Amino acid sequence: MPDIFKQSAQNPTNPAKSENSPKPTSQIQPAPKVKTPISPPPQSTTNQNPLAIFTTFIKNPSGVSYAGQDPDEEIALFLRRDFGTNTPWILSTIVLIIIPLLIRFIFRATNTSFPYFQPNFIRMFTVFYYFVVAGFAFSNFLTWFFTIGMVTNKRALDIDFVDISSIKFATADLSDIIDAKYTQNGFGQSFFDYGDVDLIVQTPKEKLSFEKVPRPSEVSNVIDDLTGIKRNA
Amino acid sequence: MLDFIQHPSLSNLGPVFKIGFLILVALYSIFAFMLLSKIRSFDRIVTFHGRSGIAFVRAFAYVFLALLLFLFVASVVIV
Repeated sequence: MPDIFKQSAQNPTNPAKSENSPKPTSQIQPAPKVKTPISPPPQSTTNQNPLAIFTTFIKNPSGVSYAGQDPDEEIALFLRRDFGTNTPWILSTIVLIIIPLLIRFIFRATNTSFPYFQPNFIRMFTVFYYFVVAGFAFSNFLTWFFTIGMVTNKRALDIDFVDISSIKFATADLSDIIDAKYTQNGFGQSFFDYGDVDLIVQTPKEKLSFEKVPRPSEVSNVIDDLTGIKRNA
Repeated sequence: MLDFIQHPSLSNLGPVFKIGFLILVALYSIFAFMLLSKIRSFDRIVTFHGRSGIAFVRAFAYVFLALLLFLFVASVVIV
């Protein structure tokens, strides 16, 4: 129970009784409007590592903050899917780039031409085709780039850039996380050391998982450590 | 082997392909615009600073959209 007599002696609530306190004014002055940023990045006391474009796993990252971040909240872990998971769309893009060249080669080899299309139309269509390929690659890159997981000293966040039309944002307080489990399925995940980390949350409906992240055992350990510290605190 | 491409019946399809192409480019410009708006909406959730690559991503999206709109105008003029 707080010592209210001691508190009142230290912080007098009645300014009229204090000799040093300013005299009360009859008019209530409005608080000055100060423009503050929505979510200023907190000043960290720990050694921070700069975040780069292809970073998939980094502890204590600098250069990232999220909306609603508390001033004393520090990001302990920043995760993206392992870069190897981009292989299918990168290979598809390469094949799509080669296809027009292959068609052109076949047409030249067989001495065939498009008689009903002007050369300008074919050129424009080819340019447009490459735009479509670039858009395909870029949207896949964005999906990878913006699908991130973060663990702070207060909560875990899972942000999924599902497709072009939806963003999924889920958070869980560290005190609500019971356990962090990881799974590695198949040869590829074991060989390249990536896998899924599932966070078991007290609320049954809620599920948080970092999918295909690198070094899942280390991620699991870090989350366990942080949740342990939070529980002990 | 590819003689079917030169069949005379395909001569009527030329204008159809051209109009279809213009519609495709217009639709794809909308897709690029959606991509850009998605990046902007994501910026409100997570903010990257410094050399995190977000400047490159934003620049690529703007250039991509600009070039696509230019292609659309060029298609209308040329095709």
